[in-house]
Amino acid sequence: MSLATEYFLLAFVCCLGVLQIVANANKLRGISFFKRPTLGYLFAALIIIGAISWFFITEDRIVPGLTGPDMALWFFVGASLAVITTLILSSLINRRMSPSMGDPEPEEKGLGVLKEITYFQAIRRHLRRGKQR
Amino acid sequence: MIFNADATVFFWINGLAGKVPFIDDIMSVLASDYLIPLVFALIIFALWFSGRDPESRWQNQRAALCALIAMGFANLAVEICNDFYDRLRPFELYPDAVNLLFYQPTDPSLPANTAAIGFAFAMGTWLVNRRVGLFLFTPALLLCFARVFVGVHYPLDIIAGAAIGIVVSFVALLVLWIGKPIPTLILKLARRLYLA
Repeated sequence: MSLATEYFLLAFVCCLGVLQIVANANKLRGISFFKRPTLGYLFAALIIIGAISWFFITEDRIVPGLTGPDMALWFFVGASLAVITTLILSSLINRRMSPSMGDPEPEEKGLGVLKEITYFQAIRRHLRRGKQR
Repeated sequence: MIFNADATVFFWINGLAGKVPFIDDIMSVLASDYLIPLVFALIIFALWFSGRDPESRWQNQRAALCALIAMGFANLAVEICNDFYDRLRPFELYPDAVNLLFYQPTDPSLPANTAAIGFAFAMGTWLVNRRVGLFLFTPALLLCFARVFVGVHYPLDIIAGAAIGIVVSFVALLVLWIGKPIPTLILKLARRLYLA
């Protein structure tokens, strides 16, 4: 595997973990893989520490390798893929999710919507409202 | 005289290397091109999605944008400096006296690119979000210290890099403020897609 591919994988896995931390910390239930926040944090810690350990233990990284722009590019690709993967997986895992009783109405736009519903549900609702107009 | 004092401080810090293998390993990993830059990128990534209400999310996203713009400017400023001034690396000037725990970079020593980028990230964030920005100074300082410890930079390179990083952060904030409609448009679009 090339260094670029390995760095991309590192970024992808770490971003998946970071998204789970953010989802639990900000109560974004729609993008969380787990119902219990503790499990989410544990999962995130395990995959982030695992990925970093794998990256640094398997090869000597104190050698000239990727340039700054290369790293930025591969991080961007890895992060984008992590967002897409999280949105798809969480939408499938939480497909039976419905707004909890007594909670305020979901925000009209933005990430805040994902506190109450999944990404697929948000898109569906958006499209339905578009048709009604 | 400044360069003499710089070399004295450098040898004092670099003299700590090569004594405890475990610490050498930790410093080499901290100084590497991959770990701390990855930490910065992950924190900026997390910042984008963080915030309990739209107001705090908006502030965090502005902080992330400011840090990214500052990082771009820092890179550019270091490139420009490198065209005008080429200071030899410590291991090039004192090949037998330096404890080199790192590969030999080929770009000029002054200003330190890593310091410029680290401080641009931290300061760029701090200007918009004090709490996270203050936290980001810790990895930036660790990276800078590790770079001197492993023998690839003088302390003055780090100070110059940090100064560049701090100055360009203010420029980034200004650019963000002047070009406000562009980030606002980006954020509005991302919000429509439920990504901000």
